[in-house]
Amino acid sequence: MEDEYKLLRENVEEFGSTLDEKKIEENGIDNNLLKKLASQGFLAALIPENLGGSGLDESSYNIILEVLSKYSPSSAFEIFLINSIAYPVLSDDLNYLNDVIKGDDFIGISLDKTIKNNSLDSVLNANGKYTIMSSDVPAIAENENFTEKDFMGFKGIRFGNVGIKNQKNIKSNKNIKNSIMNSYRSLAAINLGIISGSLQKALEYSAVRQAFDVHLKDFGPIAFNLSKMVARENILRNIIYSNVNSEYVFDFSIENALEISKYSLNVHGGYGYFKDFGVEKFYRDAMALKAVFYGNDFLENLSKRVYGERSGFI
Amino acid sequence: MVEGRDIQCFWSVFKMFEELDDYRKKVRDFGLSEFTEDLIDRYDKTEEYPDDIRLKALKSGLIDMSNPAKILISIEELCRIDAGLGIAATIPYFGGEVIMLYGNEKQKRILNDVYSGKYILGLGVTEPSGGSDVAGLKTTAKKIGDKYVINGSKMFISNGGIADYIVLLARTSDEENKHHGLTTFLINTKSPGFEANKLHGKLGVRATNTAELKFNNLEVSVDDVIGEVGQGFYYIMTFFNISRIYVAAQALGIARGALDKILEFVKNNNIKDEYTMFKVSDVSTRIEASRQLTYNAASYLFKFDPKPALTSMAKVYAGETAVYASELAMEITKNDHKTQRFFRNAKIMEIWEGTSEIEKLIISRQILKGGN
Repeated sequence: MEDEYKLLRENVEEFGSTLDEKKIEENGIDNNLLKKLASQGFLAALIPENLGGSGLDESSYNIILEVLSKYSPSSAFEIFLINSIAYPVLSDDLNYLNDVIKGDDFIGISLDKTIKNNSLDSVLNANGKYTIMSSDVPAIAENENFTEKDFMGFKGIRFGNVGIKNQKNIKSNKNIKNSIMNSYRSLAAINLGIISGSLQKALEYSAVRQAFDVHLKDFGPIAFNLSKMVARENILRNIIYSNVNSEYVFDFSIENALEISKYSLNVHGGYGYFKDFGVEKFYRDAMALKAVFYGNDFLENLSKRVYGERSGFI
Repeated sequence: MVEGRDIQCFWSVFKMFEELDDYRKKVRDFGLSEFTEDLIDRYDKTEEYPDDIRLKALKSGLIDMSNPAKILISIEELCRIDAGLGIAATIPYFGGEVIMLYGNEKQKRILNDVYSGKYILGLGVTEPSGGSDVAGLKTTAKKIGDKYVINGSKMFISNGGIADYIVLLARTSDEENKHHGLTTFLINTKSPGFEANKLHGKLGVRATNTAELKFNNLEVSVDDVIGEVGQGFYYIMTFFNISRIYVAAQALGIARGALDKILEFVKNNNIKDEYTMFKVSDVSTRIEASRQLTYNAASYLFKFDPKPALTSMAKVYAGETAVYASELAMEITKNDHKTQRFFRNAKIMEIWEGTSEIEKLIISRQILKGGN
């Protein structure tokens, strides 16, 4: 199995290195890229083979998320939305995903329960034909139109306000909230990719950039900080592919992704503040992931894991 | 502990800031009425420079260079609403202090025109090959007869694409001590040989103009030298002791604006859990500490006795606080559209006018030297 994982990692690396994240961020994930992700089997990674998917195990799936996220966090996040959110909710009615896993359509994921004037305010993949609603009872609606809104991270994903019609409940034992609760390890894999991508840039830059006639890597604070971050990157990789429970893994990943992507930006000085260097996106993506998925809901789950009962709600 | 603390001076400056509460309110009212959400959004998206905002701020009396406390308040309060527009309104005078302190009469007349709104000024120090290492710059100014011929390039220059004049630092002679042999010039950007290329795609403060400058055999007269030949490095270091306090005020404003977003969200959503309350306490404490560090450093500057260590402490701590507050605001408000601008704007506070690493070096060196 280890050899298979290694081979998969190499293949995803090869594919990921061809992606132009700057273009993806500017133009969004287009049909061409979506088709490519589908042809690699990424869009249906967790869907069983007999249902038309790739039937991969969780570790293989997380390898795809980790490695792609290093090159294109938006692409990895798109794969996550389909496999970790949409598929669990729609597993009893895969018709809604037929076009999606072929790369012909997007599936909207609503982040907000509120429905106002037949519209949903915060939808990821707002350009899809359908949107899975963020209700306690699983539900889906047809998208009529959408108005683009600014989402700070994962700019390749279209985000906005979606007008909906023909809303209907779905027969499913999962909604968006508990799909997320089952996906912490995969979110950690995306964070790991963000860490690896930003660290790689900082390590390369610090080895060639000079200040005061010395390479940045020769300054103690920079070398020691980056080295400690590489150590944490390796620890995170080990625990993602281990039996350590997923809440612990996600918690460890979240602060590290934010801190390391921020530090990598800093190492680049003024250049890091500009899109062209491809560093600032990792900081934005790490923050967006934290803002959306890491709040009191998660922390209560974490505390429940530790105490064995509900805690930390006061 | 920084030695030589002048408590009397410290308290008198805090009192001065308190006495300017009406002025603070005036600035805030201006920002709230002029910095509409549509306007903030438009300039954030287009990355154009809002010249009308510059002129309105000036006309409304928010740029009083004769009163540095008022300038700090203007910077802080405008950045509290939006750092993109806030900095765009307060940065057109950037570098003016170099002329004020060392310039000749002709240069001071130009500076008066900058302060009256006729011209925009910029400061050209950072180069593509080195931001922190000022003395390592490669732009040269060779004296030929009664002229200097300037060649080289500058990077990340605020106002670079819109400035009428640039205060430029260039090497006029090779010296064993590379801090020597640098000279400041006042450059007219209409001069032949000057080229500015606007830089696009900043993470934040996108209403400000940032450019790469190129100098190709640009000629200036000896009268365009600011101060004494060979003293430029020291003039710029003196200027940084001023401008870093401006940055601390920008950062303080961003941190306070992020806290505004947190408080608004917490109140509107009736959030009362203690985890969030502790976070609110923590960020409020850091903001108060940033304010005291900034005003304390300013107190020495106002009596023409800047303390580099205190200035750097204020800049690095307020910068880190702006980043911390904006990250927390993102976490609590869940990626709110308006909050994310504070997050994107905050990060530059740890980079420009000396990265946090440079500030920390300054602090440790000054402390090890035995004070300031």
